[in-house]
Amino acid sequence: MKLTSSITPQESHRLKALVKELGLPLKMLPEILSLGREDSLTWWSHNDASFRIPHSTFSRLTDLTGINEDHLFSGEYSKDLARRRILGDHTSLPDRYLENKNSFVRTSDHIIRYIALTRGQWFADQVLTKLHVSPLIYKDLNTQINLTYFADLLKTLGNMGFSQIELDTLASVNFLTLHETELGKQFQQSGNYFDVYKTLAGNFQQFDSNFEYKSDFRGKKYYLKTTIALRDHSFLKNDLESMTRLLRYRQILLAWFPYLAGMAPLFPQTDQLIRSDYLEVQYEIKLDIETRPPLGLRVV
Amino acid sequence: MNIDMLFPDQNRHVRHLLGLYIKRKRTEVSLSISDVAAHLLLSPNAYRLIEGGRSKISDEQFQLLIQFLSLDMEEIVEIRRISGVMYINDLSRVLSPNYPA
Repeated sequence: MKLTSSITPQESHRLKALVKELGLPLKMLPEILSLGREDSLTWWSHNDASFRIPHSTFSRLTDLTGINEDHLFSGEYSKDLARRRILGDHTSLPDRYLENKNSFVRTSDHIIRYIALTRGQWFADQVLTKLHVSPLIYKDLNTQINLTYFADLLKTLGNMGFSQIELDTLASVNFLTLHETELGKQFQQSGNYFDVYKTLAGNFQQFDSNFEYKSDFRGKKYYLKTTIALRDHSFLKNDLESMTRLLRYRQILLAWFPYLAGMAPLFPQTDQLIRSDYLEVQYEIKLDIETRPPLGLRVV
Repeated sequence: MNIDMLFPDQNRHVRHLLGLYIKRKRTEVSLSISDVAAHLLLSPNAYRLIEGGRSKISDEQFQLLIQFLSLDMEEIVEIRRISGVMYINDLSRVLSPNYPA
């Protein structure tokens, strides 16, 4: 039902921007706008749709956020505070992500920042809402979560239109921030590929504690065996597609450590053994490539 | 800043990421494709090619977009860094026999 709007087109624009800024779930729109579900979504999707939206909509947002209507409208308010008030407790997780919480959300923070940069905070919020976790979960990067969450995140992004090239990029983007850390600086001291992987072999526990790692340097090769008991990850163990996606991500991750020292990525040969309750991946990396190949790579 | 200095080669990765970013900024301020296209003196279809990563952006268009959509220079620099990483991965996909199939 299309009716004359009771808020101006400018106010309607601002209202949409506010919904995005606040990360307001779309399921709350009917209640906020005093419209039916279908009309709410039509208003949301079309620039020219003019519905009778009462001015009290802004008052309802004020009730939700505890922030003065004028400040909300002008954008002069704390977005963090408003989002916390709307989105509530960010620490509660679905059962699916409670089992063996051996990871920190920090390990996927670069992915969420990539999404927010390229699609906007609102899109990033939608991704997290689909996973039934609070959009505020990344406020505390030390929040513990399990490997299934990470696998689900990659799967959801694939379902939401991310191409394989883009999903592969997510593994590499991690290194743009890693180089600023203490460990990143250690990698920067490397003079060759051997040094890079020697540093990595001594620091796996800083990246992941879901897998067990066994490193071996023989001749001019680095052998790495990673194993994981899938019985500890019951939501993942029968999901071969998710495991494959996860292993691809990890293979790219392993290849990119030399980038921290200004060297080209070095992709390992892999051999996977997947059993119903156990997964083993052997990586073999040839280190006999000349030191600092002339790609001129530098972390900038 | 001049777009040719920021992105000397507007390869497909640069175009893809810039297109996504510009679309994000446009939708955040609830502007339509026609609104922005008109500002750039482009047809909506020509503008869609920019957002879709299928058309390069001239410096004149870039400067207009910075103003009109309030593009953030720090975010654009981040786009540049990510596009570099994306390019290296793409190159590795072609050159490295061990790149995942």
